[in-house]
This record gives sequence, structure tokens and C-alpha cells, in this order.
Amino acid sequence: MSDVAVPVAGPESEPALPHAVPEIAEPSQPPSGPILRVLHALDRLVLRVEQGLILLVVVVMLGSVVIQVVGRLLNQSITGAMETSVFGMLALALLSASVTTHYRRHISIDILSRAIPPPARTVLMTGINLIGAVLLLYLARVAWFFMAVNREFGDVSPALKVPYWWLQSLLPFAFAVIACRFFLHFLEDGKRVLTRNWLPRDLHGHADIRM
Amino acid sequence: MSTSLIITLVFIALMLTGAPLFLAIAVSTALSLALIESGGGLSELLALLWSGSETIQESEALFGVMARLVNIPQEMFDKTTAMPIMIAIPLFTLAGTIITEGQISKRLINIIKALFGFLPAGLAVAALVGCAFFAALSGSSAVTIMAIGGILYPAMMRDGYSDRFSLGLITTAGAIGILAPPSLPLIIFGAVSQADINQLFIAGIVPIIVTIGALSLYSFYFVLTNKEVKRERFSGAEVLTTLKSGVWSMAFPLILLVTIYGGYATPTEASALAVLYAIVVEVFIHRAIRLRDLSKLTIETMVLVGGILSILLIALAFTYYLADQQVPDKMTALMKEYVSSKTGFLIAVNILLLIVGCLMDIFSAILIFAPLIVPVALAYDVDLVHLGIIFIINLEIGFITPPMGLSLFVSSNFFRRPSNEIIYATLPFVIMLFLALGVITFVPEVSLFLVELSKG
Repeated sequence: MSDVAVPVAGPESEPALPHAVPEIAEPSQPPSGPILRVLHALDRLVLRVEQGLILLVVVVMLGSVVIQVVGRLLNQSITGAMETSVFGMLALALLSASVTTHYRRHISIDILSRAIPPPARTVLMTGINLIGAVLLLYLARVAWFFMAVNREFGDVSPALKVPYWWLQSLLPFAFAVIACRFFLHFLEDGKRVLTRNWLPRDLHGHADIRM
Repeated sequence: MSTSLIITLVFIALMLTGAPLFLAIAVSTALSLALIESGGGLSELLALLWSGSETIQESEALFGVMARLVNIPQEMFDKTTAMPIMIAIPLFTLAGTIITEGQISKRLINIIKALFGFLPAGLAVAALVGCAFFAALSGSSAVTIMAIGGILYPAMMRDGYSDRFSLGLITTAGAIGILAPPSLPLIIFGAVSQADINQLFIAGIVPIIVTIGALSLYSFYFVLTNKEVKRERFSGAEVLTTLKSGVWSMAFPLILLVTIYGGYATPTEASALAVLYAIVVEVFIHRAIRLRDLSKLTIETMVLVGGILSILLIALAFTYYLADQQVPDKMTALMKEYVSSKTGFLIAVNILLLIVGCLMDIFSAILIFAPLIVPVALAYDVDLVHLGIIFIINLEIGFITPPMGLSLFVSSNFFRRPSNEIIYATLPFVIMLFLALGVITFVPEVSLFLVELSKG
């Protein structure tokens, strides 16, 4: 049920504390082939960029919230500190959703998918990944339309005076990247179906994470 | 087939087949908006998509569908930028990761054990208090069971507590801390329902004491009826040693409580301070984490957080559909037909949430059901803050209820016991939690007394 790595209790021992978050690892032995190898390389490249951006955004968010606290203690109003962290939050939400898709670690309820045999599960996941790819791609187009309309209006944020469409442009990009990742998973799982290399038990599609 | 029925069936089908929950909500929301725009029928929508834009009317209709779907990114953007409290979700989770990977949590547990262990049923109470602290700080019931279980289970066995009692206690206690600040479920409930987060935090204090009290009562009863249980010996030296080594650890919850309850910082600001404090203590004072490991921890945390935030983002768009179609109003009207009293409504909500808690994770359950239930609850004159506490307690009971109770499976794996044995062991504790839930549900003052006091 959980993807939290569960150590086993030893008698009278005092084991080291378990990891607060599951160790993340690349999905085990995804099917390969010339096209998939290129796509995986591209995916990993995008992942590295996203991970770097996540770290940057977290640091910026932390900094701006702390500056705000310090500013208030000194009776100083720091213009744009809250806005920076809120915009950072939006970016972080989209980046982390994308990275979570890469690792297939979205929250899901897998009552049926765990109960059915691996071949059926693999076919099911192939279909779900295709649905994800199509929907997210369409949402990327819709989000682009949303951003383009707002660009015409030319609204800017109250404190930082940043054009809103700059931030809104994160949405179509994020949706497009997530759509590509779903498509990659569709290709991987599809190849598993064709080669009868069924999804392993620990890679049933998307992990169930409950805190 | 009505639009609502199609949407519900699509959502349930996707959810049960293991699709990511955010995708199940996204498909349902997009489909519902498209169906509304295309005239309400699935066949009309499919015909429109199939024929494409061959005629001007079809082009206009397709554009209409897209214009309607624009509400999804718009709601995501507008609501995210209007809710600074969301910042607290990744930051508190990061702080929890750092202190669990480091030493703060472990030293706190040692202090609690040294202080309470010598009392009658002291080790059991120490486990309960330790779990509440640990779950609140780490944000994870699974990690709490493993951490507290690893330390206190051998000690409880040594002192004569039965295997079944120890397993049941630790499994149950892992779930109860999520009501204590900085509780992420409460923050998410506040963000979705527009309830005051500070008031929710204050409201959670007495209910968590009631819950721990109920479980402690059973522990005392167990100790009274089982003469073989020994008490830990009080050791002043051990108390001093643990206090000395745990000074920085004790300051962590204190800083959180003082800054939030004292009004010195908002929960969002407290989350940033918590991360900074955890980094300073674990890296430079305890030297339990290397500076270069922080980036890896941050990325790992954000993968976990990404799962929650993706549901949160799409759920914001889902609430637009609910409001647009006046679903809560219709639900209220329907409910009023069958349930006339506030008490009846509260019973119905408890039953619904207990079922949901058995099947769904706590964050998804809040994000999906709070927008539906909150407007109905307000129509029955239920206090929003009180409802938030009822929500969380019901869902935390879901952690230890079959068939999907996470704590049961974590415990089963960790202690290498069959799930049935763990379920049997938790049964008396679940009964005590039901009693506590009854008190908290039907005596609103338990949750609201301190809130009223804080308002002056």
C-alpha cells in the first residue's frame, strides 16, 4: 500500500530512524530500444533542469518568507516578498507535479490494479497513460490560450509589477512536459505489453502514497 | 444519462483502476465542462469531436468547449496566487523530512520516554505522547510507527506489556498526531474551506488531548488487569542526560507553537522558520545531516509533495465546476429532504468520512469532499472549524481501518505480522477512538472552547 521503505523491527534492537520520505529511484529497468533510449535521455535532461529549478525556487521562497518576517519585526514593509513566495509556490507546484510524473509517484488508489494479474495491469496502465497524455496535451493548448488572452489584457501583479502572463506561461509548459512524460510511460508500458515484459509489482503504474 | 452520472462513473472507474487521482479529477472536470458546453450529452460531444471543425457552427462549438475549459488553468492560477497558506505545505513537509533524517525527533522521543516511562502505564503513555509529537513534526504516520515502534516496542515487551497490546497501541498512535500543529491536513482543509488556519490549530489542541486521554484510559485499564506489567525505573540522571542532549530538539516544537499561537508569525512564516531552524540544528549543531545532502532531501521531499500539490491544483478547478453547477446547493436540498436535524447531519457526515477514510488517502479525501460537504454543513449551522476537526479525526481513524488503512500495512510489514493480527490488535484502540470521536462530534465546545477563549 505504501511506498515508504519499511524496515523490519529487530528484537531488542534500536534501529536507525526510517527515511521520512521514500528514497527515489529511477523506475527499475524500463524497456529500451533506440527511440526509447533517446526519449529517456531527453527526459533525464529535463529532469535535471527541473530539479535545479526546484532547489532554486525553494531557496527563493524560504528567503522571501524570512525577509517578510524580519521586515515585520523591524516595522518595515518589504515590497513584493509575499508575492515572490506565492509565485514561487505556483512554480514549485507545477515543477514538483512534473517530477512526480517522471518517477510515477502520483497518489492513486490501486484496489483493482493490484488485484488483477500483471498482464491486465500493464494493459490498464498503458491505457491510463495514454489518457493522461491526451488530456494534458489538450490542457496545455487550453492553458496557452488562457495565457495568450491575458497577454492581450496586459495585467501586472500589484507589488512586483510582473506581467501576469509571464507566470501564466508556466502552465502550458508544465502541462506539455507532463503530457510528454505520460506519453513516454505509454510507450514504455505499451512495449511491455508487446514483449510480455509485465509491470513489476513495485511499479504498478503510479505509487500510492499516504502520510 | 445525466452529466453528473457520467462524471461520477468516469471518476470512480479511473480511481479504482489505479489512475493517478489528479488525472481522475482532471478527466472528470474537463469532461463535465465540455459536456455542459456541448449541450449535456456524451453523444453530442463525441459527434462534435469526431466531425472536427468542418462547418462554422462546429468551429464555434469547439471553440466554446475550449473557452469553457480555460476555467481550469484560470482557477488554478487565480486560486493558487490567492492562497499564500499553500506555501506552508512544501515547507512544513521539508522541515519534517530534515528533523526525521536528523536527530531532533529521536531526541524528543527519548525525553518523553524518560519523563513518562516510570508512571503507571507510563511507557504506553510515553508512546502515545511521543507518537503525537512525532507525527505532528514529521507529518507522516507511517514513519511515526517505524520510529516509535523501533524504540518503544522492545521496551514495552521488556516491561511485560503483551505483544498484542504493544502492536495495537503503536499502530493506532501513529495516526493520532496529524491533528496537532503544524498539521498539513488542517492546513489543506483551511485552504479549501476558507476556515481560519490559526483557529483550526487552536481547535485541535483539546481534541488531541481527548484522543490521547481515551487511549491512555484503555492503557491504564490494561495495566490494572495485567499484573505482569512492570514499571520503568525513574532515573533522574537519565532525565537530565536526555534533557541536556535534547535542548535544541525541545526548542523546535516550542518555536512553532509560540510563533503561531503567539501571533508572531503566520503558519506560512512559521513553516519557513521551521525549515531554517531544522537546517541550522541538524547540520551545524547535531551534525546529523551534511550540507550537501540537503539538496537530495529537498528533491525527495518535493517528489512526495508533488503528488499532493497536483491534486490540490486540479481540485481548485474541480470546485469551480461544483460551484458552476450548484452541486453543493443541490446536495443541501437533497440532504434536507432526508435529514432534518444538525445531529442527523453530523452522524451522516461521520459515516461518510469513516468510509472515505478507509478507502482514500487523507489529502485526496479532504480535497475532494471538503468542497462538497462544507456548504451543506454551513446550511445545518455547523461551525466550520468544528467541521475541520471532525474531518481530520474521521480520516485519521481511516488510517487504522481495513481495507485500506495504511498504518495496518506499515505495521504488518515492520513487525513482520499478518495484517489480520494487527487489525485484531488495534480493535480495542479503535473502539476508544470512536468514543473520542463521539465526544468531539457532539460536544462542539471540546473543539471551540479554546477558539472562543483566544478571541477574547
